[in-house]
Amino acid sequence: MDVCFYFQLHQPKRVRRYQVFDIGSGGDYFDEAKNRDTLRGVAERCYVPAVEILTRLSQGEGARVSMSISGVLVEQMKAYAPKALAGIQALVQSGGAELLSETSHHSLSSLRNNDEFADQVRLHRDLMKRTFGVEPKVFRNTELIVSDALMPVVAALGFDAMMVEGADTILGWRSPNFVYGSKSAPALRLLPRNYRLSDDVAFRFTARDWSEWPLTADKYAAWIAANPGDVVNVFMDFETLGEHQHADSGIFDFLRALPAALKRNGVRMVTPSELATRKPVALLSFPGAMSWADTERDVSAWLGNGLQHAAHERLYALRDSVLGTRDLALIATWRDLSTSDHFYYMSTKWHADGDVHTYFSPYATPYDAYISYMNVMRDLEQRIAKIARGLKTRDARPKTQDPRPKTQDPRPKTHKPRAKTQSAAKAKAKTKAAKRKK
Amino acid sequence: MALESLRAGTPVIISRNSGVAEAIANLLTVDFWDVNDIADKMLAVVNDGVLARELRERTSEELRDLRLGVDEPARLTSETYAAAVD
Repeated sequence: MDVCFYFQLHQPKRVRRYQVFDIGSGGDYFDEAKNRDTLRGVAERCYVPAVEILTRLSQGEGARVSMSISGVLVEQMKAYAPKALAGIQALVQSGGAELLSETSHHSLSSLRNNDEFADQVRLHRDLMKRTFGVEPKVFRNTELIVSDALMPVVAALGFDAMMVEGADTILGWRSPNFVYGSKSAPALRLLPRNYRLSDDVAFRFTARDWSEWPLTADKYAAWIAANPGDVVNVFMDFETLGEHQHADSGIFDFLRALPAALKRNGVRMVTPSELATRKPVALLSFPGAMSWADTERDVSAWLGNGLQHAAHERLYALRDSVLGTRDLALIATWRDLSTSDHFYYMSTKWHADGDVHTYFSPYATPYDAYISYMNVMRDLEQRIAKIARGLKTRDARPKTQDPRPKTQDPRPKTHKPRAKTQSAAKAKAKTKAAKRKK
Repeated sequence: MALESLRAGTPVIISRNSGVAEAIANLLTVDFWDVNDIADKMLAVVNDGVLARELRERTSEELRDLRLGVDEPARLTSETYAAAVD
């Protein structure tokens, strides 16, 4: 049996309480002090110690994990937690961690606008190259959001595999412990999360009313070894290590002991790109959008009520006009506002999953989150309109030599897709399926 | 007063220290002394139909499940005392 660990690292740029009186003041949408303090705190409790442990485990035990880090977090780390970033760079360069791709701004663009989705994926790919010197081959969408419609887009962007939620509604009688293919993009490998074993660590590790508490590395390794199938995919937030599960819960001791326990139980640690080379056992279909969030495993955590839909629509209605300004700072700000967390804070799921939403939210209520966000949208609209009027006036002037430096194209450079053609991929999948039948 | 307004389908802005704010979640809550916050929320709910509709619908769901009167508080108080004595 193999095990593949994947961790997501992300911190949003939280919007400050932006009132109607702030509209027209021009920018300053984010609560810099809160974002800085939060990041420094998480870096101290989680990123730095956990990465140090993983680096030692990689050198001593040959442990290998995978992680993806949002562009929003990388930029904030550069400013406020460079030690944490340097630790991750060293871990990646030593081969202890494989980096995955995602959208630069941890956005819901895949649900709204494929052009923006592709732009953000390319921006992230460029950032990973510049910051870590690697080009990820495996894709992980924001909050594991996935659908049949998205898979061909991901394949066309050149990825070999994609992480998906191993939801019962999709898998049915099948096990998540195999590599699958995609019905809508046969060349793409799908790596389903084993949510039970993932949540044992991510959510139940400190649950004293859980019959299996306390969870030890040996017990957990034995569970993985006893699971039927080829590979157990354990995916969770990196912040589980020291932030959601505090150091005094024993989570770091668990992590330190895990690779040796896995070895004793005959379990091998593998990375997503190794799994991407394996033959799929079957093709999976995701007719509607699914995610790893909440009990529903759908996208209702971000787009589950009228407020969330209205805010999301208003953001994307500005895309063409904000790109048209060619103002790189303004475009970056607009993209910072596309981060999924802003919509998560507007969730009105008071019951069941409500506690989780409240835990993460910097606002007193979802209505405060919505009102601030919509005030920001109004300010942003005014700024865009002002720039557009300036551009119009400039264009209307008689042509003389423009003394200003040329603006850069705000869109990321395009990459030649590495994906095989659809027909070739289909033919290959057919051959493989025929071989399996035999 | 706040509950009557809510029952009539009117979005309510209320001090976050008031008792009703503990029982009903779908309200706009403010710091009583923060006039800018109060004005901001008044303008938001008046100008934004989506916000007003959401507040109305969610409150109406909450009110359906809310048990008002003295019976429930009395039962809970009695249970709490009983648990403390045990």
